[in-house]
Amino acid sequence: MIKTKNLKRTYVTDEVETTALNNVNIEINEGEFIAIMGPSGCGKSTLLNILGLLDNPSGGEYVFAGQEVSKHSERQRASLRKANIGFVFQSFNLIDELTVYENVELPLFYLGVSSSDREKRVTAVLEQMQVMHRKGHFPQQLSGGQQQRVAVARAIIAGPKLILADEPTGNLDSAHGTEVMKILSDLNEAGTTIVMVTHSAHDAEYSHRIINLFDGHVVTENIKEQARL
Amino acid sequence: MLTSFLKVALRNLRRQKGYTIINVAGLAVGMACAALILLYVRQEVSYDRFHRNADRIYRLALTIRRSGEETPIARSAAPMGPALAAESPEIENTARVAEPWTSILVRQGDKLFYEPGVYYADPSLFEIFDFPFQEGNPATALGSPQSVLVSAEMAKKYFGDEDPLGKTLRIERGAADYQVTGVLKHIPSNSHLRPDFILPFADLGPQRLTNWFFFSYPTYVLLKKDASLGALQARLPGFVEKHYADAPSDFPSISMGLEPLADIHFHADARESVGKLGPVAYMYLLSALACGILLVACFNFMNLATARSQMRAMEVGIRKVMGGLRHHLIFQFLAESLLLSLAAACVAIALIEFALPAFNELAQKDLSLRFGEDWTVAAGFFALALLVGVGAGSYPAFVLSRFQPADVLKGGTKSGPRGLRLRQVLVVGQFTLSIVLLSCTSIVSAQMEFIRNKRLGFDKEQLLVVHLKTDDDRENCNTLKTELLRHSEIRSVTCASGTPADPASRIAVARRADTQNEQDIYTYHTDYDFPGALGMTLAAGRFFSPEFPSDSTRSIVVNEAAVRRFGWLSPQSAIGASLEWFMGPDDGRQLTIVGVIKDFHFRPLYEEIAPAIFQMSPEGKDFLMMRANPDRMDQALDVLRSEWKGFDPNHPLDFTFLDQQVEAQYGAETRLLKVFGVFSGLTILLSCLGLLGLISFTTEQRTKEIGIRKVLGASVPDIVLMLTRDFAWLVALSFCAAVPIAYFAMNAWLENFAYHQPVDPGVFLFAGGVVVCTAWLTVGVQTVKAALANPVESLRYE
Repeated sequence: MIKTKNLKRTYVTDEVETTALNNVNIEINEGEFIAIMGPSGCGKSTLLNILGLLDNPSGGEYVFAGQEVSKHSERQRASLRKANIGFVFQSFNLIDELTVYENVELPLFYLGVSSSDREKRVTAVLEQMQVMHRKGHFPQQLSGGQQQRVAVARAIIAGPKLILADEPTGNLDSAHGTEVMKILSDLNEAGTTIVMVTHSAHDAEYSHRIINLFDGHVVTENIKEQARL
Repeated sequence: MLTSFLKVALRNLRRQKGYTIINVAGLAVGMACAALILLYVRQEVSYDRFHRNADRIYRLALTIRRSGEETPIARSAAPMGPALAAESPEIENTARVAEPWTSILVRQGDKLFYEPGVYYADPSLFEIFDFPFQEGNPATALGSPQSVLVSAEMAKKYFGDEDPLGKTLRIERGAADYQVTGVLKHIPSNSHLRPDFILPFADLGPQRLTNWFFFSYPTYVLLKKDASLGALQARLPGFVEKHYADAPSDFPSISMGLEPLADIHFHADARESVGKLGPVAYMYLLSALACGILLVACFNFMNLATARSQMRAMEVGIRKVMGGLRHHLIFQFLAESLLLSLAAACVAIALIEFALPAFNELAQKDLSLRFGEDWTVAAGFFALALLVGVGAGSYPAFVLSRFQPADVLKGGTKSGPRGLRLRQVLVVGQFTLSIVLLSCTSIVSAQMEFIRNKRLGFDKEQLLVVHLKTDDDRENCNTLKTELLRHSEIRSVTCASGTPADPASRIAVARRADTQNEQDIYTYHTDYDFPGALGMTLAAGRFFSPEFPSDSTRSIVVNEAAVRRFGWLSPQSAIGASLEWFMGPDDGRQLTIVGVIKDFHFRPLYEEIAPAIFQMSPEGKDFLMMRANPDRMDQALDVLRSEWKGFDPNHPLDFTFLDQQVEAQYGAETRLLKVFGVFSGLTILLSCLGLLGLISFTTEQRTKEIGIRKVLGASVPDIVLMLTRDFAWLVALSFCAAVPIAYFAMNAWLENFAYHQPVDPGVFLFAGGVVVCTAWLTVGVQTVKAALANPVESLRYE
């Protein structure tokens, strides 16, 4: 599903060039649950942004679902993204001015889904995430765990093949964190590919495979059993 | 999709109440100001356009040339119009009007008033213009002698709810009874002709109707539908040649032209007062002011919106991650700004309704919004709201929608130096405008003060002017004078043909006997006490005196300006010289100068003092001027009232104060000053409102920096200085930009006045100082609050 070759990302600010990713070669198959780990500043989020088509690499190739996308325009990336990729963030990134219902509805809105269809699908997902009773509330009125469940609902509403999660439990206590990891794990079992950036060895346990990054390089790729050792 | 955008917009606005209030209030005040000014300008430029034939109506315009000087006049001789129509196939119709030159006593039963709006007109006036009738038949209303048309207002005033048709009014032009034959409907205020009473033109009498040398009657011409204006214009020189071929040799040369109806209003004003910088220029100035204020309000909006961009950045990022495209976001932000501007428009309408009475008072207009009657006002207002919404909203919409989700989610949403620079440019623009307006207001105000305090050459305080309206009153002026002088409250009295502030437009021609130098000259008919009563002094010779019996027949006094214009080297050398006189019974007679009176300003200060001549004459005393002893004005007034009852029991006393008469000469300027004052105040208020919003956002953005600086040892004054330094140099820059603009604009305006003070540089320092202080106060509270905050709080906040 995902394949990168010599992927490179550099940032230039005020004549200083910083290399965030350098020759990253990874391959992720459909249905996998991948954890990306590494110390702060190693390039995890940069990699996730590129994989999520939020950013273009400075060099190398990126093949997503059989298409070379590294030179795609913002518009092309947006159309590919909204149909195929869901995002879950550490800080939830719900829009404060929208209700729970409207936040979850947003991707369908941009996909041009009819309002009756939207209503059915949003209701189903909210029920699945057990936040239906909160649908008229605004994000600030929810607990962290509830907010993240809404964020997950929003990520899966359009039925994406891939979910990218950036530290999904980073802002949650352990009980809520476990709850969210359980949901992601269930989604993976139902067939969704998941790529998750995390600092937490506990969360990484849910994955099939761990990719370790250090200073912009892939240093090791471990399968889950090795990680447990 | 639109409803969703509007819903989000509403929630956003509700959540950020302070921001919303600043924006809506700012935009509303800006729109209300702009709309008021535009309503005013619209009415000014729409004068007389409501007549169906407006584009075919012209007024005959004459130019009189004498000694190389041209004088345009808008009045013709009575026979000109009919003769021209008879000789020109292009003309469909003509109508002559006699405008009132003084107010006339109108009486109905026990109601009697001096009416300033008594006109004479040809019946054809109603075939050319659309002045609809409430009652009566336009075709026959002015057909018979001693018939009168009254306006709806006057019908109400004199007849109340009774039907005025067929009733009589005594109008004291020859003390005749006139029968009401028609009532005119309300005439819009944007009509240059607004008669209260119209009498038949034929009633002026055959002597005037056949006189080709008495230019006194505005004459209107209606062109045929397909007629060529050029052909008619080409006919005019021949017409003048034919009818003035045997004019007397000293008759000046005249030429004729046609003035389109739509131009009359501005031309009329231009002739009357405002000198070189005519009322059209004032219209441009006011329109520019409207645009300026609206721009300031829009700048506020743009400034606040871009300053707030970081708050909205996350939302933009998330929407883009969720599949939103740039045009969705542009649309969304535009919808928000449109919503704001529509809300502001509603508030603005309320503000206008509230402010209109005061504004009408200020501008001497009767403007109203009248959405129901005039769809263009409603459409114009909607267009204004749309323009402001899109104009002010597009920049933030394009900036905000440009954010890249990857940057935003990483936290890199600083709007960057470009956004900052734009905000700085906008702030400089606002403060430049504020300083310019404030300087202009101060300079206009200083000039008005200069006029008020200028030594006019006479003493205008404590002086009462009685208008003598009837021939009997004028002839017996001396009797009243003698009676008044018996009372100790009254210091001095004089009877004259004009007041020191108004020679009542009596202009004659005089020729210096030895050099044949010929000049137009203002004329005063006076008694012996004129200079003494008015506080004037003599430069040479003496004033008229009963000791010299020949004074009443052969002596004259001139002013210093006349001495200069006729070419005498000094006032002294003019004494004993002779002038030939061309007016009235003295036509061609030699008169001897016995005195030279020091120059005084009998015309507004736009004009240089013109030559004037004073003659002892028993006739033409239209005014009695009376000076009360200090602090006895009230008692003197009582004396006057009781004496007047014995003097002329049939006519009410009509008087003014001389200082008010002087003040009235600068009506346009006084109004301009008030309008400028109000709007410059509002501009400063708007600019500060914007600055307040901006500074609260910048301090918010710099909370972390302030926290760190405090942890590292910065004191509160250090922080305040740091935060205010940035805006201080913006104000300084505005000051540098504003000074030359205001300086050149005001110099151009002052050029209108023959007498004015140079621009005082202190004015700019004052304006700059006021703006700096208001800005400091605005910013001060916010910055001190930020500086006093506990650094632990601000760092945790981050």
